[in-house]
Amino acid sequence: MNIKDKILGKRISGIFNAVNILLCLFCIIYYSINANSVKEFNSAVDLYLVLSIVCCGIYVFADHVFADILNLLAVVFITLSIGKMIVGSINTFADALNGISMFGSSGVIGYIIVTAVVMVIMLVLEIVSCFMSRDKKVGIKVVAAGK
Amino acid sequence: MKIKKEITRGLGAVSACLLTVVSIGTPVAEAYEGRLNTVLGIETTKTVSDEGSDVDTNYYKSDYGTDIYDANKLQQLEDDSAAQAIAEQEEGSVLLKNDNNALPLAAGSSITLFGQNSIESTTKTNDGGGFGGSKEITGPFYSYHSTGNSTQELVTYLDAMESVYDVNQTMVKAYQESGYARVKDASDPQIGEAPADFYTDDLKNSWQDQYNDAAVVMLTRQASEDCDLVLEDSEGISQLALHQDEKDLLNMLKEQKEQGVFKKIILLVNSNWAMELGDLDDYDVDACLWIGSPGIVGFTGVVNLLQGEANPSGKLVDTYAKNSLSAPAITYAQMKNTPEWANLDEVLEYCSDSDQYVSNYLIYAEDIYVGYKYYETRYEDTILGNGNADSTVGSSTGKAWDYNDEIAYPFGYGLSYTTFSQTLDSVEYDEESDTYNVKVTVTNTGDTAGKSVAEIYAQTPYGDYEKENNVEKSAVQVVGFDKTDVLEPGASQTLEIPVERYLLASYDYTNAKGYILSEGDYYFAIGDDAHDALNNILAAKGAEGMTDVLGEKVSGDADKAYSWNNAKLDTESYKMSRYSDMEVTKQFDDANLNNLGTDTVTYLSRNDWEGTYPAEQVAVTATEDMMNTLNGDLYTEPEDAPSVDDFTQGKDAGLNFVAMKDVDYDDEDTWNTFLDQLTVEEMASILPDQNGSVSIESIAMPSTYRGDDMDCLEQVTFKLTGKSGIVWPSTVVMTCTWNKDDVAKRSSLTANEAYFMGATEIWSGGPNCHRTQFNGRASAYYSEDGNMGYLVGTVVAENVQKYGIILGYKHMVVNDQEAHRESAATFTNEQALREQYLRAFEGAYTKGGAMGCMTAFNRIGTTYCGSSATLLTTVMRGEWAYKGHVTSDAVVNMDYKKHYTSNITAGLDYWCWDMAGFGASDDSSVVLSKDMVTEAIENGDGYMLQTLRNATKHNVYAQVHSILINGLDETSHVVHIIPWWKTALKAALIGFGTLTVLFIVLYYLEVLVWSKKRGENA
Repeated sequence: MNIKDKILGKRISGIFNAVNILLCLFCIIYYSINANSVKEFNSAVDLYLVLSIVCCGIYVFADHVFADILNLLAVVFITLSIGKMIVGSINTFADALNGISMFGSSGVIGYIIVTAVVMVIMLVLEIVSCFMSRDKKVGIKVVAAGK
Repeated sequence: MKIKKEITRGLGAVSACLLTVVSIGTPVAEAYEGRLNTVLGIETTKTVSDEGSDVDTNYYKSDYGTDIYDANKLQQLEDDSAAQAIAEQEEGSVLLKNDNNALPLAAGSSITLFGQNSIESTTKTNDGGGFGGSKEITGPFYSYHSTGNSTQELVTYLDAMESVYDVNQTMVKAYQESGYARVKDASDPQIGEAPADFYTDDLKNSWQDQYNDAAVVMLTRQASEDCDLVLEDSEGISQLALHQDEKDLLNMLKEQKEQGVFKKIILLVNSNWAMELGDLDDYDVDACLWIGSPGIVGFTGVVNLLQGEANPSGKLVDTYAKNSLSAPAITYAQMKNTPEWANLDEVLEYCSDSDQYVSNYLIYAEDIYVGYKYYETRYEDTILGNGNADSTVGSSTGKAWDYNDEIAYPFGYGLSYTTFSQTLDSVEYDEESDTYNVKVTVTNTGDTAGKSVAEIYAQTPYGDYEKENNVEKSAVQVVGFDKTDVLEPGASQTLEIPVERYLLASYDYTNAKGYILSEGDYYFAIGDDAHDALNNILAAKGAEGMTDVLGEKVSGDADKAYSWNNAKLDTESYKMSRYSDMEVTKQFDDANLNNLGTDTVTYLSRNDWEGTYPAEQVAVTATEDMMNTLNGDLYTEPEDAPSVDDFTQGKDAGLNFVAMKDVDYDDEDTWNTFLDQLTVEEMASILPDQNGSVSIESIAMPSTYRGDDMDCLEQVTFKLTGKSGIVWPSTVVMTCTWNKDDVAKRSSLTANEAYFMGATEIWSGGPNCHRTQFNGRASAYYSEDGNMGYLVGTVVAENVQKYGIILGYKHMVVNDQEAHRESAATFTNEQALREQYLRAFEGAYTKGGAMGCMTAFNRIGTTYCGSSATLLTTVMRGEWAYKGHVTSDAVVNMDYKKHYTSNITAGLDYWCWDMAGFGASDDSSVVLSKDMVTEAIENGDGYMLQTLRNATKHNVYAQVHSILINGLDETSHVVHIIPWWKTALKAALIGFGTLTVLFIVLYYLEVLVWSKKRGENA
């Protein structure tokens, strides 16, 4: 069975997780480049995104009952990633919103907002996927009763 | 049992998400607990005392009673504050020009208002501008504090003018809809004036036949905390210069006046920074009134002045140069002229703190010659032919330096609608108080009632000793002042003005290494301003060739000068502190670049203006010693440190907090007994501040509440309403009243506001100097002159402290620009430091009794001010006998401010806004001052424990002389109240955690057990 079938076999739930793998990769790259450029990079953000990718990946490709809740675990890791980034940017938002360098940050919040928006989208997708089955629907086979 | 497993998994995901959010948020909320409680208005302690005692525990009372929840009294306080603000604006506005009696302008006149910045836009947001940053603003500059949370309604300039005059609505509407706005920005500000082509023929027609009794023009400049004005803006000129659009506007009005349309042109200067106003005659301006920033109700006062209901009596507290870049201090000032170390890479490599906090330096190469001290001294030397004062170096014209080419309006200048004469009646010295009593009689020689200021200036000898030993002398310095009551025409009043002899002493940092009274002739003089007073001294000296500020030849008036001779150099009178047994000597050698074994600076000297003028910057290479100090870790445990075991902690002696209110500061036995009661954790708990400190229950010491600012209590709010205090006219306007009664009234009202906020301390007052006219925060600082700060600060401190409000005076010291305030290394010599910058603080502490101090962000020399033992311990506590407590400025997890052990051992007693910064670094730690100090003590550092005890004593002593003791007696105890949000967070953690586990368990029960059972049963 190829990858496409694997993903589609997991129905929408699987598609959402596959999309989230891509979105996580985007966030890792986008956040890392921009945060490093203003010297405000927090490796924990990327770490939790990587863990999210792992969870989503196993959820899509591994058929095991205990893999069923890996999307729930992915929700936790995505939330942690958002949280780490927001908490780590309190200084930056305080400076940017007050227009003052009181907290000694770069005051650059654009990339944080973009990353946060994408992560929230990921979070919503992941939570929705938790409400959906990942098992392929099996058609009902009607067997005519013998006479 | 059948449940849809996806539902349980989905619900589990939601609760897991919320659990994660609460888990992340809880430590953040706890780290910001103080701020959160302040914002939410939550009290975390309650003091409970036994009933039945008849002791009056309202130790400190306000002028409006002791019930801070009394709505009527609060309203009365705010109404009184508004009335005082209006009165202050009337007395503090300065009439700079009034040709042909252009003012007063009769009520009911039909006028047109000009100046884009005078009218709020109807198409853009008007938010006032606030702090820092880049902001587009329309309307006048009222204050950099928000007017939106005050009990008073904002009186706009337009409203005030429309209440008295018939205002051209066509022009008002045009400005409202123009779309032009100024931009407040530390790098690229925009003046925001409408261009010449904005004034179309239609608009011009609106004032041809009416609205032409006067053209009233407002010009505005705005800056703020964290936003200086710039030396060179996008138009390539000083932000304080008249810009092309402004010149075009004035030229258009001049043309209209020449054509007989406008009868007069009146200019209002809405700026706390000295704009370049030297060319007003070129634009045929008839009258010019400086109004600073009037605050929330001050425009009522402005209009009262314009219509003649009040008579201007304000005097400038800054020098208005024709060229704002002509002062020698400009060479090292503001963003453009704050250099980086010549060996910056090496410094950054060496220092572990963030790059931006170790990179920059400033050199106060101008020595004492700031503001009028420069211009007037150089003027005297041109008259007397001394020190090549008339060289071209420093000249704005490129020709020989000439006072009248440089100055538009001198320090102390200000006109009135009437005229006054002043006579210097007598000067008597009282040895017991070491004070001269100067008597001046003022007579109203005009035909309008008004007030007049008697300004007392002094000149001390500048002879061979001073020249050989680099003791610089200003030709004049203000040493005292007073203001008359309202004098009716023909009436007189005699003022008796005390002048401390101490203000005549000079600090000799090269030979005597202490204060001296020079040998030679001394002068006191009165005058209409500093220049006029100096001309009177020059007349007394027999000099000729003087000119007044307009360039007219004058002979001065020797009768307005008093002279005496000091027969010999006196190095003894002020050798010792006037307040302690300490010798005042040689404390700031390491603030003088010339002592640090690196590049040297030549300080400006009147002995050789040409050779010493700081025309170019010195590139400074930081030595290893300097880098070591920049690096910030200055503390090592001394070899003779006591042991931790030498101290007793946690031993109850029955002395609670309020019991210490009458204990003398020097009663070491009782203080030690008191301190022995506290554990290390308790003492350390009050080190970090978040707009207040926590309570210490074992001694029934309540939590405190404190905050900012000058010109408005905005960070602390009224308990009853949650509103901010009134937005006053700027501190500069207050100082321009030259009226100690006005200063006292405002300070008292501010303290009463703090009382009604339950604020134990206000970080306020304005003693930093206007070293240049580009300091963004100058609105909030008194003057360019250190003595002015000394005299005004004394009154401020007295009238705040008497209500039990700690005046947390700021920012100590040499914080004279916003650019690189964090944390430029600032070099100066000890004479300039003591006579100008420390002097401005000294009065509040030594005379006024201020019990709080906030250190500056910058460094003195290379030492962060919060780590300067010389400043905080030797000078403040040693020389000035200071007994209050000292805080840093906001720490907010910035590394260079977190060398806590260095700070506390230097003399810092607590850290403002010491809370987790939660920065982006992997180590977003919450190590605060209390953690680091406690850790050192746990590691056996007895010296740290001794220091912590001292800091606790300072904190308790200051606070036991504040409203914090109100309501307490010997039976009082503190009950801690857990804020509701903490309980809510805990409940949320437990709740979401339980739900998450439950849903996961249900999911697997369904998958592994129930579904299989159903399958078996099917």
